[in-house]
Amino acid sequence: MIKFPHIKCLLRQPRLWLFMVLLSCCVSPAWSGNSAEYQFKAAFLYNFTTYTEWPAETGSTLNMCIYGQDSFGDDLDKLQGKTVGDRQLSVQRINELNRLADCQIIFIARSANDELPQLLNTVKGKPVLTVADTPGAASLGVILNMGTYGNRVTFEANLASARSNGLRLSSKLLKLATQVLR
Amino acid sequence: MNKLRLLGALLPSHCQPWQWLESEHLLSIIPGFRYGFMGLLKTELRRFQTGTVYALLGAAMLGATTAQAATDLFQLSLEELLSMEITSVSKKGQPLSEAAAAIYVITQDDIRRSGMTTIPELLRMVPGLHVAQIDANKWAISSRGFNGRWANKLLVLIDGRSLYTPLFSGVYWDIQDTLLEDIERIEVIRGPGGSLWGANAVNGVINIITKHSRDTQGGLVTARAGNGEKSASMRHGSALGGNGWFRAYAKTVDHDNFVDSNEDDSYDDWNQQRAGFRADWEPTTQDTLTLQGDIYKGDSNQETGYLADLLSTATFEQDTIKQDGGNLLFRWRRTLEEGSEFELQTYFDHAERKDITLGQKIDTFDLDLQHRFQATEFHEISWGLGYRIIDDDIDSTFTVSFDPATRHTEVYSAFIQDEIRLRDNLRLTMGSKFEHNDFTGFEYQPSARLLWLASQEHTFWGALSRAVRTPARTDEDIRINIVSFSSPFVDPDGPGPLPVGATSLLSILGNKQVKSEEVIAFELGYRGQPRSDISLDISAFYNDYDNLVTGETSFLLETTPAPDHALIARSFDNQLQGVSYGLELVTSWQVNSNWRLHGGYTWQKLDMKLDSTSTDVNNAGDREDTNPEQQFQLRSHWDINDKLELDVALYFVDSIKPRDSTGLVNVPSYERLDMRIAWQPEKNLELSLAGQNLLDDQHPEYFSSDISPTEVPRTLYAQIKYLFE
Repeated sequence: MIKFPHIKCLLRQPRLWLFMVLLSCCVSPAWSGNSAEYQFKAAFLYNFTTYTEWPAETGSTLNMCIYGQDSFGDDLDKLQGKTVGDRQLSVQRINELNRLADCQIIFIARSANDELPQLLNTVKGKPVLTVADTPGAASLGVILNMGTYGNRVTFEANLASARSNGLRLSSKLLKLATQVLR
Repeated sequence: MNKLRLLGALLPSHCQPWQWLESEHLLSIIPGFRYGFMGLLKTELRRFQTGTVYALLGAAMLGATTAQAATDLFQLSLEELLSMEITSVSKKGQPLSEAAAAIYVITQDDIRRSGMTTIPELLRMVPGLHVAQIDANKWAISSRGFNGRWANKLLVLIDGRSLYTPLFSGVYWDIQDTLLEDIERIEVIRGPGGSLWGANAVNGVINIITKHSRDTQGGLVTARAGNGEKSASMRHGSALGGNGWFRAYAKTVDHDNFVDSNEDDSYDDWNQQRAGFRADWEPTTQDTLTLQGDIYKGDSNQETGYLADLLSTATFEQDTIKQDGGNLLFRWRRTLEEGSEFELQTYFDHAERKDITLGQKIDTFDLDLQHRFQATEFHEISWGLGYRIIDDDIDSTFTVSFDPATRHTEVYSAFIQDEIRLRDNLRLTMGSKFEHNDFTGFEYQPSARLLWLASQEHTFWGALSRAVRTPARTDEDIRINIVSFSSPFVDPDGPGPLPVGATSLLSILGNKQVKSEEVIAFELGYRGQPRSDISLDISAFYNDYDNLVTGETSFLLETTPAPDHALIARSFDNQLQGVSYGLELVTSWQVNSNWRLHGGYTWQKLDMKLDSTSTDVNNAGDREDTNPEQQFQLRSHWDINDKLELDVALYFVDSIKPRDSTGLVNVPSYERLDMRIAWQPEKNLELSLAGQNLLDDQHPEYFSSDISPTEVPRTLYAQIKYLFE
C-alpha cells in the first residue's frame, strides 16, 4: 500500500488548515472578469449563428459586429475564427452606423438603444441577423432578442424580420424561442 | 527551513514538516520509487486486460464530459443553455467549466432520451458511479468504491433536502422519486464535498434539482406500459397572479418483479403512489420564495433474511415493506447587490418504513442559512449555518433491534469558503465545514481547490480535501441477529462451559465508541476541447482512508433470551484503512447538428488493509471485491428528423464478488444495451418505445447477504406523453 505518513499527519492538523485559510486572506491578486450573464449571452450568440441560414451568395466570413458598448469583453473573442458550417466567424466592435455594411450578424448593445430604429432601417432587406438583449426589441424588428427569466437566458424571435432580410431560421430555433413574431 | 520551523510551532511534535523533508519519505511519495516503476506498471497492465478494448475505444474516440463540463459555454447546445441557470453548481453558483471538482450533469434532455424511469437508474449515465440493482426495488449505488446495499459515503439531495436516512446514512432508493419530466438537472460531484455539504459527502454528492414552477406551466400526462412497469402520471401548472407560479403532480407506478437464476419470478414487485406540489413567488425582483412538498405511499415486496427467535432457523421470508412519508420545504432566496446572495431554507421530512425485520419512523427538521458576497475585488466569501434535529422511533424485532428504541439527535454546523482570484486565470478556493453531532462531537472538513484556466481550450484543476462519515444510529445502537445454529463451542478462550451442541448465535452489534470514518483525498483534473466538436474531461483521484468501520469478532456467553448460548458477536469498530485510486474519462462528440455521442470510462482500485489487531474476517476483502475495476459507457443521441429520435446506450460493468448468504459470489462482468425510439407527430405529443438490457434475457448485478438473489431481466415499454394548456 502506498502511504504518505507525514503528509497525512500534517493534513490531519486542524491548526494547519486554519493557518492556510488565514494565509489565503492576505493574498491580494489582480483580476478582472466579465459577468456570467454575458458569458452565457455570448454562447447564445454563437448558437444563433449555427441555426441561421444565410443566402448562398454570402462570402466565406461571417462578420459578427458588436454595436455600442461591449459587455462581452474577451469572452466573445473566443469566437474569433470559429467555423459555422463552411464559414468563419470574425468578431468586430463597431460604433458607427455607416461601417455596418459588411456585418452578417449585428449585436445591438443596450447602450445603442436610441439608434435601434435607425440601425434596423440601415440593414433592412440585407442578409443580416440582428440580435439584441433589450426588452421589446423583437417587436421593433430585431430578429432575435435575448432576455432573462429568473436566473436563465431566454430569447424571442421575429420571423417576419428574418424573412424580409432573406434569412432562414431553423425550426429548432423557433421551437425553443419563448415567443415567435410572425 | 526556518519558515518551516515557524510553521512547525503550530503543530504537535510528532508531526513536524521537516521530518519528511529530511527523510526518505520524500521519494516514497512517488509510487514508482517505492515499488519500482516498471513493476507497478506491469502489474497494472496485467489487470487491465479484460476491458482493454473498451479502454481503447473510450480513449480513442469518445470519453465523457457532458457539454456542461466542457471548458467553455460555446460547447453547449441551445437546449442545454436554455436549461441552465446563469449561475449553477453546488452551494454557490458558478459555471460548471470553472468548478475545481469532478462534476457531471445529467440534463433534462439526457433524462428524456435515456428511456430510464427511476432516479437510481438515471445515475447509470454518470461515469464513475457504480449503479447495481439488488432486486427490483433495491439498489447499490456508490462513487469511487465502497458499494453495497448499505453504502453510506454518498450524500444525496433533492432541492437541498437530504435524502439519506439518518438511521444508517444510506439511501432507500425506492422511495426517491418525482415526476422525471420536472427534474431540471442532476449534478453529481465525485469526490469529497464535505467542506460545503458536511458529513457523509465522503465520496460524492448527488444533487437533484427540480424545475422552477414557472417552467412547468400547463398540463402534462404520461402513461407507460410494458413488462417492467405500468405507470401513469399527471402534472398541472398555472400562474398565481403576475409573479407567482404553481404546479401539482400525481403519479402511480407498478413495477414488475425480477427473476431468479432459475428464471422463476422473484418476489420483489412493488408499487408506489405519490403526489406533490411546488409554488414559487417573486414578490420583488430580488426575492424568490419557494414552497414545495410531496407525499408518498408504497408497498415493496421482498424476500429478506429473517430470524424469528433464538431457536429458529434463519430463512428468507416473503414479506412486504410498507412505507409512507412526506416532506415540506420552504426557501427564501434574496439577491442583494451584484454577486451577493442570501438564502434561508427549512424543511420537515417524515418517513415510515416497516417490514418483517424492523419498523422505523423518522422525523427530520432542518434549517439552513447561506450568504455569499464579494468581500474585495479578489475574495468571494460564502458562509453558512445549519441546524438539524432528527427524532426516530424504532419498532424492533428479534432479527433487527435498536437500543434505545427512540433517539433524539441534533447537528449544528457552519461553513466558510473563500474563493480567491490569484491571477486572471488562477483561482484558489479554500474553506471548511465545522459540525457538531451527538455521536462524535466536533468534526471539521476542509478543502483547498486550485483552478487554472490555461487557455480557452484547456483547464486544469487540483484539490486536496478531508471528509468524514460520522457514525449513524446503526453504528452505535443496532443489533442484527443473523443466524443461530447448534454447534460444539470449542474456543478455549470462549465464554466458558457450554455443552457440546449448545446454541450459538451470530450477531452484528453496534458500538458506542465507533469513530468517524475519514478520507484525505487528492484529486487532479483536466477539461478541454481538443477539437471544437469534442470535449474531454479527465480526473484522477487518490484517496487515503482511515478508521473505516469493521466488524470485530468476539465470543460471549449470553443468558437472555434463554437458553444460555454462545454469542459470536461482530461489533463495529474502526480497524480498517487503505487507499483507493482511479481515473475517470468523460468525452462528448457532436458528430453533426443531429447526432451527439457521449462516452465514459472509469478505472478504479481499492487497496484495503486491516489493522493487525483486527479480528474482522471479511471486511478488507469485501471492500475490494465489490469494486468493479473498469466501467465503460457509450451513448448515442440521433435526431433522425424533426419528429424522430433514436437513442442507443451501451454500458459495460466489470465483474465483482459481493457477499451473499452463502459467501462470496461471482457477478460476471456484463454489457447492457438500452434503446429508445420516439416520434413526435405534434409539438405536444410524444410516442416512444424503449427497451432495457436488450443483450441478454437476464443477468445479476449485485448480491446482498440479507436479500434473496435476483437477476435483472430484459424490459420493454411503450409510452405516450401529452402536453396541454
